[in-house]
Amino acid sequence: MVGELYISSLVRTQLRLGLAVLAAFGVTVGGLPLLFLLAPGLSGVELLGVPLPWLLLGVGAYPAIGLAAWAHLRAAERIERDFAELVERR
Amino acid sequence: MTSPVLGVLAVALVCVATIAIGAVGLRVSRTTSDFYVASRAVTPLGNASAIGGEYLSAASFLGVAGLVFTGGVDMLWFAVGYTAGYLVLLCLVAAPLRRSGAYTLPDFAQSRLSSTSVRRASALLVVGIGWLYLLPQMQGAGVALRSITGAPVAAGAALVAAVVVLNVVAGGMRSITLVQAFQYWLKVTAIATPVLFLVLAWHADGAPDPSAPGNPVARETTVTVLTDPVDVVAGEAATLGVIGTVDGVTTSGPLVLAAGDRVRFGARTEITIDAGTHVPHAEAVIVSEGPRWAAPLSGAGGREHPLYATYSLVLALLFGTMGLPHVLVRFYTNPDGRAARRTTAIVIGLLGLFYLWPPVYGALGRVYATDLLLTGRTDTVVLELPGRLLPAPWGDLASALLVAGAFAAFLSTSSGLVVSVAGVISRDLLGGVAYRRDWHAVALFRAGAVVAVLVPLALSLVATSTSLAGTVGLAFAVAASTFCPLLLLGIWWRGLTAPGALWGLGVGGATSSTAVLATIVGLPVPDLVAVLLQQPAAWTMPLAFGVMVVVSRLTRDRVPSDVGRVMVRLHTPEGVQVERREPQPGDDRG
Repeated sequence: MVGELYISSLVRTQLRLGLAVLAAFGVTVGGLPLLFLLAPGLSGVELLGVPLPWLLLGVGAYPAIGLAAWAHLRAAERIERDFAELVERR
Repeated sequence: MTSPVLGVLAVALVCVATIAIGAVGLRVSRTTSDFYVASRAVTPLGNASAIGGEYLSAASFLGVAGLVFTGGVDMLWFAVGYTAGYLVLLCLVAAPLRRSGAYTLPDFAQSRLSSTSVRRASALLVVGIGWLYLLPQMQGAGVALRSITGAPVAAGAALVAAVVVLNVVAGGMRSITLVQAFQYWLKVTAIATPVLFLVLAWHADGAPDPSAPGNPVARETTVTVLTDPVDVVAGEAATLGVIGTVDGVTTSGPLVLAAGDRVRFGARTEITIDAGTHVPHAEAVIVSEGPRWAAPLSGAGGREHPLYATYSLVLALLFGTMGLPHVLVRFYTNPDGRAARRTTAIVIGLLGLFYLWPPVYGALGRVYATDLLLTGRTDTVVLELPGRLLPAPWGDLASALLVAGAFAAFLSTSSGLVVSVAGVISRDLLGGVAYRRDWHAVALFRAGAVVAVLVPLALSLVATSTSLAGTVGLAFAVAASTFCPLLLLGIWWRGLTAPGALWGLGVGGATSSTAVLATIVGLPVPDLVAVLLQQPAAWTMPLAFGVMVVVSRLTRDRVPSDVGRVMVRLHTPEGVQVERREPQPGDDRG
């Protein structure tokens, strides 16, 4: 049996990780509306003939979400491996 | 206009393929547990494809392009939010939920809080959200079939309902998993392939700017025959050729409209718009000038307070995804929590791959399909473009492919929703009756499936058509204000109590659905209130969280005594020795 103390610490670590990844997503992709509000000139910037806001939202957001997902997946699995080792060593 | 023969053939093929693949699955699905969760033995990529197939609905396949067409760049948030919802699922829900061993949201509520009343409240919410989400699928099918054959809207809705019931009743979830995975790849192929040719054709045409100044004009002379009466507003002066009725008066000849004029065209009126003429638009559609359409937070498409509206929408989509009944049930088909996480990460990639394409249709629509603004059928822009831009056989083929993809979208999302709603109806709402009369669980599931389809089908026939993605957005808002706090607090906070959950679900559900109803009915309220009702998630979700926490704190003595053991089960990785017991289907039937 695993002590509830170990589990509480695992839960806290995973929650912190999840919130940290979401916060990173929140200030980057989630910050775009604020950025557009504060820098209206961005709409005039074009890349390959497409206005920047269209590129950022239509294309750029997806790799960013994918990157966040990948980072979370790796970290969450590492936390679980460490936890398993900790329990077995006990 | 697409050749109806090819389009009908495409629809028939998708329906037959769906039923055929379902029949293959039928031979392997035998037990009740097969029916509910496909025995939890599907690989992450297979499962991720199935989740993608199930998730990409009418709102994604047709609705996003339609919204971008009218509302511009701000509407891209719909696609970003639909995808990022899975990031939230991955970070906070996927693995613990799978480890909970619950089959449905009501199962989760009961195993976490040991409360039948929370279970019942969750069951009602699953059915409500499921129906709210099924409604636009049926409407989308009706609209799509009408656009290729001119058939009445009811025909497409009835067709989708029939195929879904047949499939779900025959095979349950195992067949659905195969069907859904097939449909994801069909949808991506269907939406992406024509884009390449459309963009080439647009270049060959001199790459006209979708954000050119002024209101949309007709690129070529178009003739539209109305099937229903339409109220139309002229944004700028325009002269149309009209044969039919205008404001109840039979008319034949040119109709001169000044800027701001409003007229009502009768059904079967034929309207000719000459090339270069400004296109008057249906009253229900709000059209913006080119530069405004292209700029973010400009209020294009008639959105007041665009910053609030954008953030509230994004919140609803991010936190509502986890509360959609057809999304959650998929997690139980993963063998363990780790696979659930991997599946979710793959889903994010698959969704991103899909959402790259619909906005292109929306932008090209502003150049080539402006007459859709007149009829208000902007959600069909995806289906209309190939026939207008591509030479004869290719245009028809691409349209047929897109119609096939659209029907795959209606069928897969509806199937997934019906499986979930039917499961809840048969286990939680009909369960008591069945127990007394000794009905077989599978028969009961089939009865539940029929009920799950008939109600939204009936609703789709009476509800006036609103934007597909808009209606779906409302379902997200309700889910974010109810199941999101239940899941997040249930998974991460020991202090949650049954009364807290019940009050939170009640307050979140009541406020968000009141806002939804007020929006659908179109209550006359000031701008600020209207936008708060149109995008309620930013206030209803924190409210629901707050109520859940405060009431739980006040009822501290009601914290379930087994919370420690439940937390161990939710969070311990598989392979680590802990006391764990997975509930079996039917185990916890009250």
